[in-house]
Amino acid sequence: MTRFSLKTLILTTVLGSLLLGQSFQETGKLEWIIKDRDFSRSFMEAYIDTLMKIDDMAELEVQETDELRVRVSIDVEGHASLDNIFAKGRSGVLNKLARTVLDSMDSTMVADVLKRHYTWDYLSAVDVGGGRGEVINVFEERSNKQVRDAFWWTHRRVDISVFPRIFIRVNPNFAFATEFGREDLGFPAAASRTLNMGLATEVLKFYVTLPATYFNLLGNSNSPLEGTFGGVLKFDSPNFGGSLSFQDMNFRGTSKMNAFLDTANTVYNPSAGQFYYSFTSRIGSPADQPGFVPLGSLRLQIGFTYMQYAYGQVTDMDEGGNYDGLGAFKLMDRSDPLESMFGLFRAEYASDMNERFFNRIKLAGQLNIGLNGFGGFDFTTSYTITEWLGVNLNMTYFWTPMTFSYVDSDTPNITQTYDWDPGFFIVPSIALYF
Amino acid sequence: MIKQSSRQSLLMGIVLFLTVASIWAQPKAPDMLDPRRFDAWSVEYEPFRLLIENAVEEYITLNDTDMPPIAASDMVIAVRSKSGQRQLYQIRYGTVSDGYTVIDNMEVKWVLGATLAKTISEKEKYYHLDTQEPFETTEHQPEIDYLEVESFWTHTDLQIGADRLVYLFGKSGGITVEWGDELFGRPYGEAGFARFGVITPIFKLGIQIPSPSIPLGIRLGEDSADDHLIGGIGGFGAFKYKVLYGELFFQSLEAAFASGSHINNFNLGGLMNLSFNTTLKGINLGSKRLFAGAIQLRLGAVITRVDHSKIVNDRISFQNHKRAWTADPVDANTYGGSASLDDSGLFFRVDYASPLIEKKYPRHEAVFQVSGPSIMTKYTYNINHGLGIPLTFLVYTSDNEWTPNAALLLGFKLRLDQN
Repeated sequence: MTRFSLKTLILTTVLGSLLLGQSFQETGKLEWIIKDRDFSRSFMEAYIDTLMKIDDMAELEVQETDELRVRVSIDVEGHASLDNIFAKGRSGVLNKLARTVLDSMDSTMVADVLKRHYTWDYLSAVDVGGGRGEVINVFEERSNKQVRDAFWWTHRRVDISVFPRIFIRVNPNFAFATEFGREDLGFPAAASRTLNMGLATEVLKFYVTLPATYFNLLGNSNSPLEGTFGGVLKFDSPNFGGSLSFQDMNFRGTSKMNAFLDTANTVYNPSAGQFYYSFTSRIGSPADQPGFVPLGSLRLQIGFTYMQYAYGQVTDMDEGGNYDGLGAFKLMDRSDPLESMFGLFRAEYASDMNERFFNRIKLAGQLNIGLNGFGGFDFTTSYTITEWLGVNLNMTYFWTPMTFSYVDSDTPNITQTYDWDPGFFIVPSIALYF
Repeated sequence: MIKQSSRQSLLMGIVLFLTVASIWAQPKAPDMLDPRRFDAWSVEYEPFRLLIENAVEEYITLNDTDMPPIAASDMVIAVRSKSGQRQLYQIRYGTVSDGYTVIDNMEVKWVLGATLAKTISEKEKYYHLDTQEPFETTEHQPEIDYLEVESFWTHTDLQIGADRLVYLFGKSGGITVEWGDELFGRPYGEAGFARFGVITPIFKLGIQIPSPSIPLGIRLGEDSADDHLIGGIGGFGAFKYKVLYGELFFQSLEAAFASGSHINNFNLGGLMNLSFNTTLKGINLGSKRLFAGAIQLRLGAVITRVDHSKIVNDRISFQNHKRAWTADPVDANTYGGSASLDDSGLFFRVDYASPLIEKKYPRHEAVFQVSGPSIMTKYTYNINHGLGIPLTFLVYTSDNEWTPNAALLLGFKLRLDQN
């Protein structure tokens, strides 16, 4: 009999603890601020009345006008239970409401807090101590979108970064866009002799590519990627994006139309494709807390780029060395599929929009690492001085040349090489916003 | 006698109860709104949509309510008042076939919270698509919705066809594998390439690789076995933004994948078109209506460049569109001369879908398409929601060494949903 009871007791205890353990196992917490002043005032009045009834000598740390913050626990079965209620006074100090008082209050009043049938709001990044909490809410997502918009296009009506890019948002849905070079491929502004013009929307850009050139602070000692006519299609979503582009040197017409072009050693990009995965997180500290980086959002992109390089000459001579006056591009070598593959790593940061609705600091760094050693690093920084004025600086460095090999018709038995070394580019610019 | 009548009454009662219950169980059609007073759009920006999904789930957890959670396949529609402070008036979620759940007026703020409601109401600041769904004054036409979605995206979780495979990871994305490109008049093995990529309801992007140029039927009027296109390594991208469709691809030949004495490949392609949808009442034939359903018209232009190459010392040697291989007419004929833009031209396409069965699939689908020199007629008979059999007839109006005169091709289309 005793043995049976002991066994039953052990079994009951184990099962009971398992059940209890399960029922009290929390799967999450919800936290919000009550924004309905009438609701929070009547709740606080009832709370203070109950407190006074329990202990009329109690020291009051809260008052009727305090803002209420509610914390609720959700168990594995999806049941919600009140965890705590905090009252925040004008001084900003959070006071936890006493559990004994809450338990003594009218239960329907506490239940009404839980039901959330009133105007409420999420906690902002500052409320949770600089955004380091696990709370992901509308404030964070709005900031995350700001960093994406700041680099993808602009949240301003007109954004003229004289001159690497211009965006004019004709209406909220689309913008006229002009960008020098292909920053997404690692060849911004002066590093690529192209001007891309077209339309931009929230998710895609459609550009026509034109040959052009741009000022480089280090002069013309280096060799940018040549440009010609072509097209670009770009996509971007919160999680992934990419681009597809082509150019054809023979779209340039005759050899007389060779402005911005090194006809003797022409290296250009006939086709390129890019795909990346991206994610955004919070970084930095609020202005009133110690820290080097202001509170903002950091977007990271990891992916790959397929970028073919073609080397040749724009010449009036045909395959047999006879003059035909066509000025056609003569292909001498091109990168093979492995040489055309590049790993992509890009980081974009924008500080949170301030009370004057602009992001003070924007930074972007991009690494393109080729499988054959060729690659480059691109860095852009932008500082917005006031609502309408900012300064930008872009630096691009390629650390090793790309080697092309070819056979000249004059010396058919000798394989010759050409080392294409783009070099170092520095491009400062001024940004105007309207 | 009495026993029988009471049994009949009981039976009648049960039938009546079941009928009433089934009517009550149907999703209640939400009230239609006046388009002069409200704006409506679907929330397409994924993080904001997820916030709405979370907020609805939280509300369900905190309250004893029969409000359903937002499913991955649901459309989430926001409605804003045009008057006053342009506040968020409603959130609707659901599907055309299953109906919509409406969160109305004050409840919007209870469910979403103040800042999320304000953020959602500012449609100008995030990706959205305007919709007429809450304003429909006439009966909704699901056939148009079917054509709109199937022309780029898919209604089902998995679609396996001879021309494309789409596997979805939810509402926002999936992977796609395509064989050939029907819009360029080269379906299945007629283009010589296959594609692998990612797809969303708005865009797709991926790589292009060579594929066997096997005819999925018969080719007519071939001059030689080399009368087809060879694929190369490249990429493709396409978007569908409201009524605008655009596509771009490029590829370059690799010696390892090329063979034959004539090597012709599409090394560049571009397509842009606008679409227009309308419903057809059909011709009344007593109990049936002939050609009832919906059509989608698309008009635009297509550009393709066919490149001609030969293999010299195990390397591809190609020629551009400016300069022919040689002035020798024999050699020029052998290698195709300079690159050709002959396959470029007008793009016109009509898609037809018959009335949907069980609001899911049409019995008949038909396509007539002109894409440059290719004229395509395609008929698909859907045996059920899961299986369709497409039959394609292609006629090529240009006479060249990379195209047969015509082709008759047979495919299949399987549609599967996850349970």
